[in-house]
Amino acid sequence: MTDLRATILDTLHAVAEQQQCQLVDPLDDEVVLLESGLDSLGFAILVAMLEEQLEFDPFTLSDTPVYPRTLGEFIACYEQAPRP
Amino acid sequence: MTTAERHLPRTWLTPISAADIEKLRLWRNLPRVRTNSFDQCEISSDEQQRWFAGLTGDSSRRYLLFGQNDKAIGCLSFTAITATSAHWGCYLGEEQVWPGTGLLIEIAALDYAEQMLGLATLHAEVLAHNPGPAKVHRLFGYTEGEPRLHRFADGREEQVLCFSYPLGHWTIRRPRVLASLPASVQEAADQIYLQPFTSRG
Repeated sequence: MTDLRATILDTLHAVAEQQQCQLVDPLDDEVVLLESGLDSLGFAILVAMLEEQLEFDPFTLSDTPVYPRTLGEFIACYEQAPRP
Repeated sequence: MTTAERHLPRTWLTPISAADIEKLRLWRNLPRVRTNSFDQCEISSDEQQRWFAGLTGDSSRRYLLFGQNDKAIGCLSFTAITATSAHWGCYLGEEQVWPGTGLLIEIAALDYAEQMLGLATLHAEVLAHNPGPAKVHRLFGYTEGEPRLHRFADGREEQVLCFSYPLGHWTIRRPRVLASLPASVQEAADQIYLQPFTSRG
């Protein structure tokens, strides 16, 4: 597991616990984000926390953004983002 | 990075048209949507056509496409509209959406009810098994009333959480509510368009 993937997953679990969201099990790359158990507020907080740690938000870097459907796509957005 | 350099989603609302109703039907029939709906039956094409025809001239119901950037992603509805109040509901049909979109829907619903419908009170009901929307309603300051029991077509029963929002407070509370949300949501809330605009691109 890459450091970036581990950071994202660790933060996701921390946010879910903080927000009392019950994540689906297993939480693999195919899980659709809307069915992951993390709610809208949780995702907004997750992206904000990751921006603090990584110093970028991949969803604000382009004026033609591609938003993620699954957890795997969410992680790929971070892995493939052009760093500012 | 400055705010000006960040690209937040543009949110728009527009009344549904005949060209949209098959897309709405397909979204509405998704298992993910049906399981959180009060009517969980699959809707046929004929039923959808009759439903849409029934909206003509009915000022008690308003159905809007909820858009993000250049595509429609869901439906926002106001029903039981009177001179002073309405119920609202929504569903996301698309799954590729900006993380945090549910918060933008909540803001847009309150903005629309206050600014476009001129209502005093907005009501919302949530099936008890669906904690996400209930949490957001509480976060935004909805008043929670007595729950009621809902009976589905197949005889099952489930508790319904009932919320109401006095819209006279929304203008005052809006900045405070937004300030409690992540900065990107605050920025995206500045790009909510309650009326169609010429370029969605």
